[in-house]
Amino acid sequence: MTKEENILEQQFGKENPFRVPEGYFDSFADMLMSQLPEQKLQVVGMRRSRFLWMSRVAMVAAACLVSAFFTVVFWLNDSDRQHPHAVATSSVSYSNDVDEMADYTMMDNQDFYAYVSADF
Amino acid sequence: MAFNEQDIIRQLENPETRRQAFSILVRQYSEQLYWKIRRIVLTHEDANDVLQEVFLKAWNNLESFQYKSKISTWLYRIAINEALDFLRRQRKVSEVSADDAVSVANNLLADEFFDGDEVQARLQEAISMLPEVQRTVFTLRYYDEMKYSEISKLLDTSEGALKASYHLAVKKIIDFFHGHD
Repeated sequence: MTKEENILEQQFGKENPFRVPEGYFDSFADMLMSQLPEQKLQVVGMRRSRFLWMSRVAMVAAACLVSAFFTVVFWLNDSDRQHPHAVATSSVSYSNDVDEMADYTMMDNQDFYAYVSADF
Repeated sequence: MAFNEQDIIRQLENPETRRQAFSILVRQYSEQLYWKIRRIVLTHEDANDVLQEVFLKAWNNLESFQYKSKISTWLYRIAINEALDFLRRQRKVSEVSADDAVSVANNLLADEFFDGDEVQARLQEAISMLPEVQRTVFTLRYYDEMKYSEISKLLDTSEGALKASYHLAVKKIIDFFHGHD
């Protein structure tokens, strides 16, 4: 403690010169709670917000994968015109892969396709 | 029942138990917060108003509290900010001149919820003349005997800056009494 701090403490002390009305703290909580509005917004806990964030990341990742698949499919379509059987097989395979991705992201297929088709 | 912060946090996250948990929070912290506020705003009426604002703000912003710090730190921070905002609003209403600062002591002596003598009233007057942050640092350190590390979390200021601020505040208060003797 510095010299000045010593002087201050010796001269004035640290007693609390303020006081409150009798029973103030006993009744404060009830008074405040009676004024508290109903909460409109939901508190999003850490775990739930993390789940929502991961869901969004999964959606974006899935969208990237789908676009990659589209690119590959179109490329195959373009380069394999003489092999219709191979194209048909890859189309079926593509459809299965997209369904698998939709399941993985736990989204409804229709919502997922709508989301993807908005960009492509 | 012992206050368990983790239990309270779990209950706050659940909409069905949130109100009850918040009530426990209010009972746990209202007195501590009140005194921090009172030493800044000085009168009981103002401290009561600010304290209510603090809890209303906390209730309306529960979602912004991400449980990274202690609930007490979060509440103290709201309390300090609300008390300082109150002072700023008060200053806008009436410019504080040297003459007005003298009336702080007179107002306190006339206040039924002030039990100090004239020396104590003048001390509060001297503290009220400090810049807001210095005033806050001084009251937290001198009266609440908070560690600089704790004040640093509250005010988001380095411990070095807080120590400098506190020593400056002490010097100004002593100079105030030398000047008025």
